[in-house]
Amino acid sequence: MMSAAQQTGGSRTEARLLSAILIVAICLTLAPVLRLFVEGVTDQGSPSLTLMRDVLAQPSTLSALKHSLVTAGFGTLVSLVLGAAFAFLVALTDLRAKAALVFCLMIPMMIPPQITALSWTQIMGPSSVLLKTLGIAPPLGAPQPLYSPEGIILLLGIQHMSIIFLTLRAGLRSIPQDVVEAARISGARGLRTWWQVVMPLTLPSLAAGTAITFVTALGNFGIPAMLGIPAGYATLSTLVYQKLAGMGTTVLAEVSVLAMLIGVVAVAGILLQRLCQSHQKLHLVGSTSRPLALPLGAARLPVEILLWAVVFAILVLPMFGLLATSLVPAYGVTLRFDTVTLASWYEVLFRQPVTSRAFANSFGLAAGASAVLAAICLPLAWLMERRKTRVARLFDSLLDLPYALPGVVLSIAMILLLIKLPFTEATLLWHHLDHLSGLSRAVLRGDVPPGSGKPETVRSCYG
Amino acid sequence: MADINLSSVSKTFAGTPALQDITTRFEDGEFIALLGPSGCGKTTLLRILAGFEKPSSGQLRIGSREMANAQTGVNLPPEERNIGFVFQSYALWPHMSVRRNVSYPLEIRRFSKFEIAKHTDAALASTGLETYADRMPSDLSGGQRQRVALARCLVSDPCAVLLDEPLANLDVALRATMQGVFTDFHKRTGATMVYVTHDQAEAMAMADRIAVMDQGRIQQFDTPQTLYERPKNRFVAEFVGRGTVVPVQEATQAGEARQARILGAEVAVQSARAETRVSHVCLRPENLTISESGDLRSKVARVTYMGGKYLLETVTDCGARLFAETRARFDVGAQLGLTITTPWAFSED
Repeated sequence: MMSAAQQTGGSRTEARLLSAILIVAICLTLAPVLRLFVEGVTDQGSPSLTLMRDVLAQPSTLSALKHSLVTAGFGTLVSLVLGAAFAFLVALTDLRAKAALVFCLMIPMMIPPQITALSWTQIMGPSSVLLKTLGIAPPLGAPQPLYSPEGIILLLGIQHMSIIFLTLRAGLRSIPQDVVEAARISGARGLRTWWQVVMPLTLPSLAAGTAITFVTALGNFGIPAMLGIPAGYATLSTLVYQKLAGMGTTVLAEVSVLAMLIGVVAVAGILLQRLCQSHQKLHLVGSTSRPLALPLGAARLPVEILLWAVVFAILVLPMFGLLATSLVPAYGVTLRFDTVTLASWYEVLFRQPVTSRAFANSFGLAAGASAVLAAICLPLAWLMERRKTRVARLFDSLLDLPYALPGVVLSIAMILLLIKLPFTEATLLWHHLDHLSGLSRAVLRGDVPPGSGKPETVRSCYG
Repeated sequence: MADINLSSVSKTFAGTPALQDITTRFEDGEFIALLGPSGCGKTTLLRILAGFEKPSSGQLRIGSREMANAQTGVNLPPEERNIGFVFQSYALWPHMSVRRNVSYPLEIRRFSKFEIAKHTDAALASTGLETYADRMPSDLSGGQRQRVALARCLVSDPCAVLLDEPLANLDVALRATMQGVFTDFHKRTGATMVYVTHDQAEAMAMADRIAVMDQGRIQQFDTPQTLYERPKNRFVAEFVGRGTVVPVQEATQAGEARQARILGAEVAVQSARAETRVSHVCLRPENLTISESGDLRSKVARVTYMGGKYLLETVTDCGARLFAETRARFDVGAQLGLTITTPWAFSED
């Protein structure tokens, strides 16, 4: 009796807590998006589509849209090939040192995209210290090969391969070993088992991973900015930045249309994936306690060497490039024993106060976002698991919305939402734009129920 | 169809022995049950037969083919063994229809379209699944799914069928029906079947012979009747049927007849002829008669109605717990006398 009474009392408090958190979360999710929409379809306070028509008719918009689709699309393809190959081999076969391989494959996602871009430019092109040291640098004046759509595609692909790898590996791990063993005892050999049994069962997670990768690639700013701007190759996200950097708040309305355009493409990607997935309802029963380990036989060592070579090329080599550049006295000098210097390290670490300030800022943003995330998401996830109310279900479907919207869209939506508030000064807000967008994105994106397998969130503060 | 021969098969997982020195033979066409508590090694043995695990030592032959030999390193992969396997989780392929699930093994063997259809229809018919052929596994009940799994392993005419606790996920009523399905299947096909279970009633009902396993060893391998009536050791006596093992205080032998003092009473016992000395007896309800004049005074500790009869758990004056069956009702706490008649005696260290 006593415990039953306590339970109903507890659940009433719970219900109130849940509604309170849900309302806050829904406001954070929906309000900025609605505000963005309103900005796009009004002209000086009255509903109008002229602005939208004008912006969409601009050649720069159309070419940026095309560039975005090309780079994000092909970048996703690169991620898909790399990530899926690694995921299948790691999850299904008897490779050795899997834990180390998994760790290495998660690193690209944790490195901020602009650092990825920077490190890759250091190992390619005429002024690469590494190439010069090895004596194989192209002649001065030769173009940097990465300043091109192909360069953007390659780096977007590498940057986001972890997403495919992780979602697909999670999907593969949920396949009961019985199902694969049943195929083997029925006579199916290696590749046939993979193609006819494993593949169809992993399609949902592969589709989900691809959609998330596409959306993330679409919203990526660091790589197209570092590689595309020097080449005069603008994508939607860099176009937004260029417009804002050039004209300031006066182009906010115009930019909001661009942001919506990115949002529409992203949501279309997610919807396409949902559509594909709705045809496939698979119920997997059986033990998944033992991971699959199909024997590779004699091919094991060559496969291992190949995989580690890829890891070396996409992870270690660029970092070497960065390191080599940091050790020469001036850009373009060859790295030799007599030219090695730690001057740049000393300069940046001890002479320039901006370094420590930047470090403190980054650290503060990340820690703040994590704290806010934990404070909102822990109770929310717990409550949503315990009680499936209608509000909770609604929110569950809304959760994908901020995730589908790239950070730049959300940032502009947030600015629009907060810029007119009486107690905020626009300049101050501008100052904190980065902070705010990172934080809100982290909060909204990270808010996922356990087990849904979306990528880490803290990093998005940097993204 | 083929017989299965194991010689000194052992398996260790990371230094822990799971199977120890199994040497045995399953005859062609026999229905064998591997019975034991969880962790006794029965599933490991089955997975070695299937080829999912490699024995750490020893040799395995099925029919005339050597399947695994730890010494020479031979280990045929499961796909080359032509064995049927029925999983506890059914392990149907959720993206294939019932018909495709059943026909897939033939598809792999590159049968002609006509042959595939013929064999698949026959397998579906023999498991009563004709009307479900176009459904997806997720639309079927547990019993139907297990029938699909059975049809799937039947279709390729395997040389042996291995079943890993196939009824564990089904409810009691369905389990009885499915036992009938398995028994019929065995009769009709004459396949050598090895059936893993921890449910002795299931094993007793279906198997020709039962291998009782514990701690990675076969403790006794006999017909259900022999296992029940003539257990070889304490583990088998206690694991199979309802029995209490009590020590023999003093044993005497006069020719064929053995006498023993049990719980203070002098009784005639049976034992294996080869047994030179006996140390324990197994007291089952059949060995105990309730009578006013019984030599063993005991008190009723628990009464369970078994339908038509009662099972009494009684405690004797010296503290032993004995099970007796009766048609008359007794109350908890009632005093009664028990007479022991010819229990089975064995020697145990």
